[in-house]
Amino acid sequence: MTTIESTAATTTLVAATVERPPPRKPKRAYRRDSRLLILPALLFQIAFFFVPLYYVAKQSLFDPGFTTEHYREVFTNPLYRKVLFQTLRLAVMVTTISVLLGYPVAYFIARARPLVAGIALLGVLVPLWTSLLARTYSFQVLYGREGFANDILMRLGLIDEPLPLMFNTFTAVSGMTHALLPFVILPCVAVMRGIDPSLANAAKSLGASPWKAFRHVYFPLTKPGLVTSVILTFILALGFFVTPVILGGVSEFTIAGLIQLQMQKTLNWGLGGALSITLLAFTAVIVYLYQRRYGLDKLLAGGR
Amino acid sequence: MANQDHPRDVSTPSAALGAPVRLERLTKRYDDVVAVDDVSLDIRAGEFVTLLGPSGSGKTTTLMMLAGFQEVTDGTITVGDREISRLPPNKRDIGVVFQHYALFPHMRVAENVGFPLKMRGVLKAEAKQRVRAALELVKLNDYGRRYPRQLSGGQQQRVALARAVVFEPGLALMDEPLGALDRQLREQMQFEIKRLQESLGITVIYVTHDQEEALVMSDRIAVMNKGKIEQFATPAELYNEPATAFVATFVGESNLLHGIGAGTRGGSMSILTAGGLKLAGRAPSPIADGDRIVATIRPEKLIVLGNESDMPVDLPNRIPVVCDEVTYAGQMSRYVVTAAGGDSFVLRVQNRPGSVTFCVGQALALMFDTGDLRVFPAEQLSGAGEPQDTQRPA
Repeated sequence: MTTIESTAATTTLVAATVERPPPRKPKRAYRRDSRLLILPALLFQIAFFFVPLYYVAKQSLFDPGFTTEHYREVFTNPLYRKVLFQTLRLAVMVTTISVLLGYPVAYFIARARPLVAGIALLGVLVPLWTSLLARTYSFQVLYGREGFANDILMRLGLIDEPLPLMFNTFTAVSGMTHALLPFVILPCVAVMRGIDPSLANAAKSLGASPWKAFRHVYFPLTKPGLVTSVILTFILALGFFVTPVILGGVSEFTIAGLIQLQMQKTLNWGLGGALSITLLAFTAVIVYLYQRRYGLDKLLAGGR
Repeated sequence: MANQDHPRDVSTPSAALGAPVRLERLTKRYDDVVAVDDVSLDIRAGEFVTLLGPSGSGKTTTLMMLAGFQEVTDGTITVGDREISRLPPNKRDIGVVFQHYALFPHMRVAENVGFPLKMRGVLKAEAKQRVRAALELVKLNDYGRRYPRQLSGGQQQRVALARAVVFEPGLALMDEPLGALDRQLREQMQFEIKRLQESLGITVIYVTHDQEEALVMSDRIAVMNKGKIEQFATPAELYNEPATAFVATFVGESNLLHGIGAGTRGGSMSILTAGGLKLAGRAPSPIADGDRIVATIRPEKLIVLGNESDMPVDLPNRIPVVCDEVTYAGQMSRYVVTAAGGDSFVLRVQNRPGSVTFCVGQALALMFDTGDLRVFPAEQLSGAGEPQDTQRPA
């Protein structure tokens, strides 16, 4: 009896399986597999980012007991407020200039013949392959008090005293813009290459002047690239350390410099942590607000 | 799309919108390549004209010059009473429909259609009204708020059509607009485009490499090859009286016979085929005796009889043949038959009730009317790029 029953049960099961090949099971298995793929990177991220970040955050709040002293210091000390503002201003300037310089270059590369585009891209990428430190110091060689630029200008008799080309906002902005330009150009080229070239012709045939075709058709379609560029450049500029510190001349020039000062020179880890967390929070809030206004999901809602 | 033999009378008031178009000695040269070579066309207001040709024949380049996307090397383009050859595209007031629609992906359907009105500074209320009317015309009334990617290919092409005519241009250019659609949808859209064009009375210049599409839609067709116009005529003329060997082989299916000219008598031209057949046909251009020729005849113009004795004796074109191949294709059967000298013919016979069928090896007789055999100088074909395989299966 039991044998028959179990056979019957098996038969039903087999029949059911045959009748309805279960489509979900392999899918789920596949999903689980693909989730496993991120595990190494996730562990890495935990070990080398979240855990250290946790300690930094902890140190900013416990010294050794719970305290808000460091944060109070960050927000009340006029120096820190000034540096924070200066950092933001620098990041905004660098981002703006990078976009203004990079967007036309991206446009050129996206429309150029393959050979020309390749050479131009190489020109964009080579600086990325060169050590940032080397590039930054070469700035000093060129624009320092005894540097090449001043030397030439003096010899030409155009100036009597060397110009203070180094250690100011101008050099910091120039150096950072130079370092960050590829982060504008590359995302923009990628997006521009995806735009159907006949759209510009369509706009013109419908009565749009070249400028209007750009403003109403081409430019809106490049926004996803532009948004990516702005976010990348802005975040990188906010936390930029080497270039602004070397070219700005003093550690107090940016928050990043200030953090380094606290962590390594004065060994005030609590304050350094508070500064780090504040910078992170600022970045997060700004990126969040920006995303909400120009978010990629918004831009892509009507997209391709 | 009914009456191809008699192009619509386009001088009636219904054709108010359409503009006459004149191309005079239009030429496009790239360095040493001549893409469009001295093309002249006179197109009536409200006419549907197709530029038909293989790729590289210059049809698209001609269209691009009309739209203003390509500079004119030489010659002039006149639309209505405006000479537009050197105007930028946005000053031409010509509607253009692109192969891949070219809808603006970031704009809703209504914004896409309203774009040309916005560019012309049409007031919002009026623009809204006209957009609605245009969408109604293409039967997409309720789709204004959608984005292009939310529409099917056919719907997208209708939006493109609405956008190209909403600003009431006198001329619309269409560059293989149905190339990306599947066959069934294509046939439906052919009808839609025709209906739209006729209801607006707009002049249309249409580019395609699909000869069937050209025959079905056009008032007149300009067959292009190697940058030149081979023939500009109604579909029926083109099909029945091709002016060149290229037209005869490119438009529709033709049997090809090689041979030499063997004298003219009256309006007909005698030829001697490679297989030794002496036949009579018509030559659109004069051919001297002994010149190498190609002769073409449509498969459906061949009359086949089961027995040679059935045939009236006094006809010039009678050929005893043997049936080599039989293909049954539903409404018709396709036969390959060969004459004693080796000349072979493809022919098609309708499968009607009571119609006879033949079998392989059967002796048959062919005959045809003198006017249906078209005789051309042989060099017309050798110069014609890649002459199409004339015996495409039905």
